[in-house]
Amino acid sequence: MSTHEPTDNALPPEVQSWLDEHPNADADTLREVWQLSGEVPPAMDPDPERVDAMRDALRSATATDRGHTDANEAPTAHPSPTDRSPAERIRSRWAGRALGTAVLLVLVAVGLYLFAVPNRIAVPPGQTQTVSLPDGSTVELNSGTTLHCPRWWRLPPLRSWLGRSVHLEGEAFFAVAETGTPFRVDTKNATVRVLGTRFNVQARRTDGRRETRVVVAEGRVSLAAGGATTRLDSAQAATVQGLGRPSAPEPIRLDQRLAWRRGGFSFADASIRAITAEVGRRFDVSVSVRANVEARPVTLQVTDPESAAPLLRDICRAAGCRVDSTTTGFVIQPR
Amino acid sequence: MDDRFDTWSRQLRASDRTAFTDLFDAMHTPLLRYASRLTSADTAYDVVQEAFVSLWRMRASLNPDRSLKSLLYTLVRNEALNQRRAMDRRQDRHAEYSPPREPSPSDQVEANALRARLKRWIDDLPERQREAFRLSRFDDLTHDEIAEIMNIAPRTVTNHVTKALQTLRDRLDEHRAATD
Repeated sequence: MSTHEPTDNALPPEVQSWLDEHPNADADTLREVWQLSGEVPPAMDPDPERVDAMRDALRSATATDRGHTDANEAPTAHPSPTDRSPAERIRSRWAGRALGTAVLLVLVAVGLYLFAVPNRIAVPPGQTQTVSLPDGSTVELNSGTTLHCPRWWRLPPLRSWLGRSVHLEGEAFFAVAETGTPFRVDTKNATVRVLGTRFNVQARRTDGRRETRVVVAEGRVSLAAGGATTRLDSAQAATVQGLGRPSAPEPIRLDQRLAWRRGGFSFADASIRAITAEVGRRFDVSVSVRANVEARPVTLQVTDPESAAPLLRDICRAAGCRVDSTTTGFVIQPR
Repeated sequence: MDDRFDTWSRQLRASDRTAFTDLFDAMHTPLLRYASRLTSADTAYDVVQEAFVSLWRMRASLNPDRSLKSLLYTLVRNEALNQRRAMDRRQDRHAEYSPPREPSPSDQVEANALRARLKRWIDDLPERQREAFRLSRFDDLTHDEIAEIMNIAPRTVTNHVTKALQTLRDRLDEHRAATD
């Protein structure tokens, strides 16, 4: 760079004007330092072989993408990295491949996740809700109930290939559309299988135990739990407690057992805790039961309760206990 | 400042491969030295090659009003800092880019001793000061160009350079006082 030789040891103009503003800065020594540092040997002298290799690599890089003018586009050819050691080349190739695979895996995982994560239908306390599923079945959900239904139900081929299954926590009445594909309701401790029928599943924790109770309104279902399977015909019911097997089918009066669908209550030999939990859910009130309450099991039919307070009073009269209202709800006490 | 860069800039926009090679031949040595100061002598070759590949890729959008020379330094700097981050991730950066220590001055003839000392004093400057000072002293870049490369204000470049000069002057004074 011949043009630089004459100015080689001149201070940059900015430094020169700084010196003019700072007359005490000992300009002579600064100039000497500037000049001396110009004699400092460079950090490195390029290896001619590696420079040649770079030149070749750049030549092939520019040759392969001639006419390609988009500045932002990725290069059509990477320079052959001849100035890299084989280990580095393998490492960078491996890193590229690993990155590609990782991106692909993440995309697949996200897709599967979106596909597999079920639709969640949650009905809060104090409400009931009727939903239609993509296969034409309808589900009436009692208060405080959660139903999970997979997203791939929207695609009929997948539905018939993978089967129809939902997960239930709470209580729901199913009217299953007959499609030829089995319909399955999974609870925490039991599985109900049907083809096309109407039935009720109650899956709750009662007195600290998981309980799934199935009532068939029409058709036939199979109830599997604990390695055993029971068949239920219409107007029959069975119960699974904890990790046990289904109880033997028992005949029931449907209008009583399904009273909740019309806003009523129906209890048969039920504990005070199970009953108050259901009342609390339905009216969205807090009902606590004191630990020292020893109440009788209650059998009760209520078709059209107006509110929680008179209902709880009736229940307590039958059970032999007392109900007090508090600022936040109700407390069941010993009489 | 240097007409050749303007010419090369124009030719590059027209995808002139000969101009590209000429630019490479004119600039590879200072750029390799700059890159080796930011990373290591071994990594510098990769860094400079990547910078030239990037330059070729963006040739169509080169701005004729901006210095091609400082663009090259900027590309080298960005690539070098990327490599350094990659090294940081590999946890072996200290082995690779800490500036190589000079052989002890006593091994050298007296004439070289002062230069060796000076080199070490430069190495000991704070990083940004050192970079600005070296670009100004060894790479024949204007302070405006350095400001663009280092992405700081031109005034800051002048501050860095004058501070570096003052530190070096103090070191030189101390040294002379000690040896007299």
